[in-house]
Amino acid sequence: MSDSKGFLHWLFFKKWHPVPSVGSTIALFSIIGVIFVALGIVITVINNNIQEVTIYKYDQKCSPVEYNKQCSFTYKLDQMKAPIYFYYELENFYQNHRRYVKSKSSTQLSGEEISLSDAEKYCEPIIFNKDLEQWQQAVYITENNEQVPKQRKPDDIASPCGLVAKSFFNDTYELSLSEKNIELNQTGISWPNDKGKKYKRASDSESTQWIDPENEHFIVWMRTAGLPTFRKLWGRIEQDIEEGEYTIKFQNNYNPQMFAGAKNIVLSTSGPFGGKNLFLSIAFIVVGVIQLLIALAFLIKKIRAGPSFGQKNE
Amino acid sequence: MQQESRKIIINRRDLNILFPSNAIKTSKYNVLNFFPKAILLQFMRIANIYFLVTAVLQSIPLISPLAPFSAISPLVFVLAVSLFREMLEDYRKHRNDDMINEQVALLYNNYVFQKIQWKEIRVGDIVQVLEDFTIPADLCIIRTSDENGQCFLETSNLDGERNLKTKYAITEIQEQMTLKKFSDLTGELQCDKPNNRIHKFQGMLSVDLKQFPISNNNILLRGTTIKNTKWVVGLVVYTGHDCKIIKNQGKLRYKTTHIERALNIIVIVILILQAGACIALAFFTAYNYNPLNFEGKPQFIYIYPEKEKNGPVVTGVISYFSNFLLLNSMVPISLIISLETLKYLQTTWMEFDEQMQNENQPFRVLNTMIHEELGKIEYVFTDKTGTLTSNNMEFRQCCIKGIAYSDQDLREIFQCDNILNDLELEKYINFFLCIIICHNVIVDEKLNEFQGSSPDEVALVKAAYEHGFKFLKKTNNSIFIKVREQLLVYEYICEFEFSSDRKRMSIVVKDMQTEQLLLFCKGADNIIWRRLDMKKHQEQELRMTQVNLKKYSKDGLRTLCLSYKQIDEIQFQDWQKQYRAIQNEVAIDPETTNKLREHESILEHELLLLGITALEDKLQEDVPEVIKSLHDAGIKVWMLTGDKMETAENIGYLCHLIDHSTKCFRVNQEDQESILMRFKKINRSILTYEKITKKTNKVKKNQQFQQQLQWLREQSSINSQIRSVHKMKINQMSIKSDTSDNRSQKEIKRTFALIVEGDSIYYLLHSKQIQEEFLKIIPKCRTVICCRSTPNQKAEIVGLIKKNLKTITLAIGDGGNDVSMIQESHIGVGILGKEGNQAAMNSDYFFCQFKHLWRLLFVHGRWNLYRTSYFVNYFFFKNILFTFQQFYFAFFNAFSSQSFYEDGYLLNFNTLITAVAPVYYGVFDQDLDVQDEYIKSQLPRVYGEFKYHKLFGRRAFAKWYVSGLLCSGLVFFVTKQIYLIQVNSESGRVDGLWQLSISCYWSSVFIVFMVIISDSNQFTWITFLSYGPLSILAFFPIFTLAWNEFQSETKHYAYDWLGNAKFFIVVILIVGTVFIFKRVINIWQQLEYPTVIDKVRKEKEEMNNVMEQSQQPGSSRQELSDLEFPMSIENQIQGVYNLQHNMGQQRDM
Repeated sequence: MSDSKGFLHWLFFKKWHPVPSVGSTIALFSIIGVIFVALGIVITVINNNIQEVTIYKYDQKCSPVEYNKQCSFTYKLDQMKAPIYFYYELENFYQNHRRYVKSKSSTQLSGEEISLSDAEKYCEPIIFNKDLEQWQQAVYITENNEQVPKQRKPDDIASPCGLVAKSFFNDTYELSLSEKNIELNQTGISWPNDKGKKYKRASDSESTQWIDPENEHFIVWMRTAGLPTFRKLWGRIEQDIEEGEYTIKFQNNYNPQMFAGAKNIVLSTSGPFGGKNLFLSIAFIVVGVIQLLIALAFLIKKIRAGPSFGQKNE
Repeated sequence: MQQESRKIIINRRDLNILFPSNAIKTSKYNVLNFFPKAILLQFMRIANIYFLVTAVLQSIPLISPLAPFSAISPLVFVLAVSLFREMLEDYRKHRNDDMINEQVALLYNNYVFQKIQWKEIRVGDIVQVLEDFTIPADLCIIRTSDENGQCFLETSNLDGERNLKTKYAITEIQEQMTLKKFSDLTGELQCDKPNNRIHKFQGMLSVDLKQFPISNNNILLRGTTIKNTKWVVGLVVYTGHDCKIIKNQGKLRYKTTHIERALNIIVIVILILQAGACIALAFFTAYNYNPLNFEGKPQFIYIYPEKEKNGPVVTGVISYFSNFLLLNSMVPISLIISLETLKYLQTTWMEFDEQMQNENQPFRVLNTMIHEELGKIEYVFTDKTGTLTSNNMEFRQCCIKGIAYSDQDLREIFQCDNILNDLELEKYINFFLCIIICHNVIVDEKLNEFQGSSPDEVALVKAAYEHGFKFLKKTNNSIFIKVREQLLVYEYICEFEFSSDRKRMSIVVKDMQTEQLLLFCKGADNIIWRRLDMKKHQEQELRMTQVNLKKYSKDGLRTLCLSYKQIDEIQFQDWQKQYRAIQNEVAIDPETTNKLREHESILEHELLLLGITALEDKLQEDVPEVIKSLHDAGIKVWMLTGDKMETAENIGYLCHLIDHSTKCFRVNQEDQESILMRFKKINRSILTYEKITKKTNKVKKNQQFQQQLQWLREQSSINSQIRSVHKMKINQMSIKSDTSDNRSQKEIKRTFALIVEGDSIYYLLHSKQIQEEFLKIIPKCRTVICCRSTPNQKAEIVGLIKKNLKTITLAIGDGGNDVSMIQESHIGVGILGKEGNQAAMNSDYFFCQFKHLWRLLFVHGRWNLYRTSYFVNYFFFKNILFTFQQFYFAFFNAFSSQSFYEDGYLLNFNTLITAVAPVYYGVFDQDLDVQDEYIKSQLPRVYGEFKYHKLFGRRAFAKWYVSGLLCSGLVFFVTKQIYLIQVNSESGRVDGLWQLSISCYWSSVFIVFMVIISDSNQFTWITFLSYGPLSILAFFPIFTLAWNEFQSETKHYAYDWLGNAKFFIVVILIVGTVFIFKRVINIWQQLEYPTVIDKVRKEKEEMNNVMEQSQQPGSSRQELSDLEFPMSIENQIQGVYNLQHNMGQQRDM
């Protein structure tokens, strides 16, 4: 539209008019198809190397089923390679419910004191200590997940307040093989940017807070899950384990009837793309194969129809 | 003033206090009321109310799933932009008003004329206007600098005509005023109430107990300019908004486009869908996920505290509103503002187009909102004079005593002085005397040129001047002329004006040399012919004159018949006596004007024929070519002119509106019945023609080849080097076209035209029956010419078509008489011509030449149509893709209306990340390379087929809507399935809600970009920049990381996912999947249902191939053998294609 030469002219008027053609599509699809299939195969291989064991409804394995009680059961595990991640899994727990998600105060969690109005604004409906669970009102949970008895005034602002904190998952686990304890490393289970940054203990944590916000189990819990069935990392086994009957001892605190669901234990190793996920590998292979088939179909049609293909006249 | 008339007391401001001041105000606001008024006006728009409601809902924490700022900030932004625009616009109007109101006028006060501003003028004042100044208010002339009380006026602001008009002071008052002072003038003026009739004024001036009738001839209207007169003094009659020019300013009609109308419907449909989705979600919430279960026992106690006892109903209602807020980005607030931005940019880009301009004469867009309408024009209504023709008359031919001369002939004759003796001169002299005596032209001494109300006359006088017959001056009683260096004086006696009824003009003069009384008369040929004295003419002369007359009209020349007669002195005095008597009678009773006319015509009898002049009304540049293109594009072209049928038809032929293969139906009946009969008959005959044509319709398929063929022929004649190869191809193609039924080709070309004259138009507009018949015919006529139509009729015709045929109309014109038509049509185009700029100022687009219409429609129009359609479709697509994931997510969060996206991401999707690319596409994308010669030649055809494609409408929308839904589902469910356990990295750590949503978010963003890149037809470096770095690379990490620092909820999350391989893998998988589906659908559509664009691209490729081949001499032998391959006639079309493809293939290999 302009006759002026130079940089602007080049910028605006050096044009390409690419028109998708059958030929270019065949080439493109073949290349992408091959890449996808290859990726799919790689991911499948990775997936197959991941070992995963799920112990369903472990709380039902003790008899009688009692809550707030220590309990144990045995479970046969295959050989697994370190590091092995120890997860608890909740089913039908809506950590992504709107009222639930927003019921927490980021300011408070980062170690600052909040006003009553802020507490009411962000933490509704769990504002005061009296709104917490009974056991939470009489305890201080340290960074290492130890419970120290501590009495609190029911009308103080709960810290941390809100639904997410209140529903903190408080089962604890121990794993042993023929009386030999297998260490579950409970540090480093939260994301590096959370601990000490987003979650910081208040200066007088023990007297004002019922749990240390730098408690990693707490941090893990606070990162609300996206789907109603979710896993949370509880610990890491940093040694290979052999085949055998393992004893799992746990504090059965958390009642799944509260959310009409179930709680499971998952032991899993991990790959570059995280845990076991067949869908990803299958998806890549399927999409790749479809592309190759389409490319092939176009090619056959092109050869069959002869040179006039793509020239269909009306 | 509710009286029937207005009474003005001269020179008494205190008594005229009730009339408005002369200030005009077009602005809407002042400093104080701007904010309340402008904001109120903004909330008159339904969209803004909707967004306000959304913002209010969003501020209620119980309901809102989002932070309030994400609804309020866009609303504030939209309002701020609108207010700012209002402010700028109003500021401009204020400036404009002030400029007008503060012009200087001269007011008579205390015996002198003082300088005052226009706005201070009041009714009843006496003001003076100097030469070349504009009249500040409607004035009644009291005195002029001319001793006879004449003054000249240029009225181009008012009626578009640049010729000068004469106005007069009342003779008696003019005489009085030369003796008296203006302050002594007392009395009153009784006149009509303010109205908009420019050509009508009735009043009675009472001065010193005497009454003088005031007519339009004594009135100077505001906005006109005094010319050739030193000064004029006038009495102010109407001021300010009462002035006729202001009363005549059309109200700006708000024009909407078909896309906007469709958009409104679609928005409603989406709102209903949205409401449906909200109701469904609310129902699920109420049914299952409320604080109390069916037994009334609390459930979800980790969410709802025990004290909360809201039943299902309350929960459901709250959920409805929450979901409404979540899903309201289905009708994005940004669409309206983006669309406005887009159109603004389109406007700017169009105005940059140098090919639409002519030597610094601008192309301007006044209505920025209707560009896409330009791509769907089906009817073009054009004015004749000044639009098709350049309104530049040139003397071409004349016929004197039956002998035809061209301008050149005459020049030769008059150059050789000595050859010409007096006798021979005699032959021509009366002919030219008639030209230079019988006219209303005046000499503008300053500019040294002729000016007059009739361009024909000016052209004639000018031509005579060049041939040595010079008109010098006309005073009150004498006319000075110079014939071949000899000064002659004629005494001016009286003159009978030209009028549209009389169609002639006569003048009686006395030759001062011979004392002979002469009458010169010129006018339309049929009128003069009737008044000729047949006995005094030779039959041969008359016959030859007739022959020439026919020839001239056939060539599209405008003819005038010249005649004269000698009058007996005594007879004339008798006649004059009677004439004066009748004149006096008429002065008292204007109704009797007819008597005067009758008496005038007594003298205009037994005339002697002098000859015929033929003037050429020159066409504007490229008019026939543009008209042909319009016809090729299937656009019906109507010429609406005030001119007579013959002239209009001539011009029609001249500019190829009709040609010799056109069947013309003329309608000039003058009563309802016969017009109806005529239309019925026309309808029947068209049907008969169509039947014949249908049988031979197959040939149409060949048209495309014919076009290619023709183009090749043209090209090969240009470039002789490549001729040989071309010839082969031409032969190849012509075999085919020849064999395909030669006989029928003529039938195919048969087109119809309708020519309707003034009176018939009247019945057409007023009789339902006739209208029905008419509307049946016109879709079949590619040309309609309406002659002798008034400005109002023009508008009514446009309105008739617009209303009844539901098509998009375009009106183009240059004069004040086209304004109503321009405003009535969907798109009004003004031509900035000689006739002032009134049409241009009232138009939507204006430029300076008719030929620019070609580019406006075929290039910009079609571009803007598909760009805007795509833009809107795409906008809905991306929002549905984005928003529907919220809907799917509801099924996994207990229908709690938790937002899937974090507030910041939600807000930025439309406003920042995906905002640039569609706007870029909407302004710059080009589907065809219009620089290419072959494509250029095909643009009309493309336009014709393209406009029927439903680019934006229910079907297209449904297509995009469904693909949005599918993509949305794909993104959500695939991502969800892959992120099921949310352990996404080797560290075994678990991700949360936002990782899932961020992954979906970026997949959506990349799909949105992938789609627009796939659909872009043209790439420049800017495209790469705007699609790539500007949008993605800039926003992807930087925006996300920066955003991280502000937002508490997703703070630091970006660090986690940017280092996560799975995130990228998932995005690649999803975008790749969508891409292959898109590509396959594109290719499939291209092969099975090629659009006209696909076809033209293909053809162009073939053309280029041929060109390339021809430049490689080695390959021509190969081609020859291909050409000799025998082909059966049935497979010719296929064959040629095969052949071309063969050639293409060989090159590929």
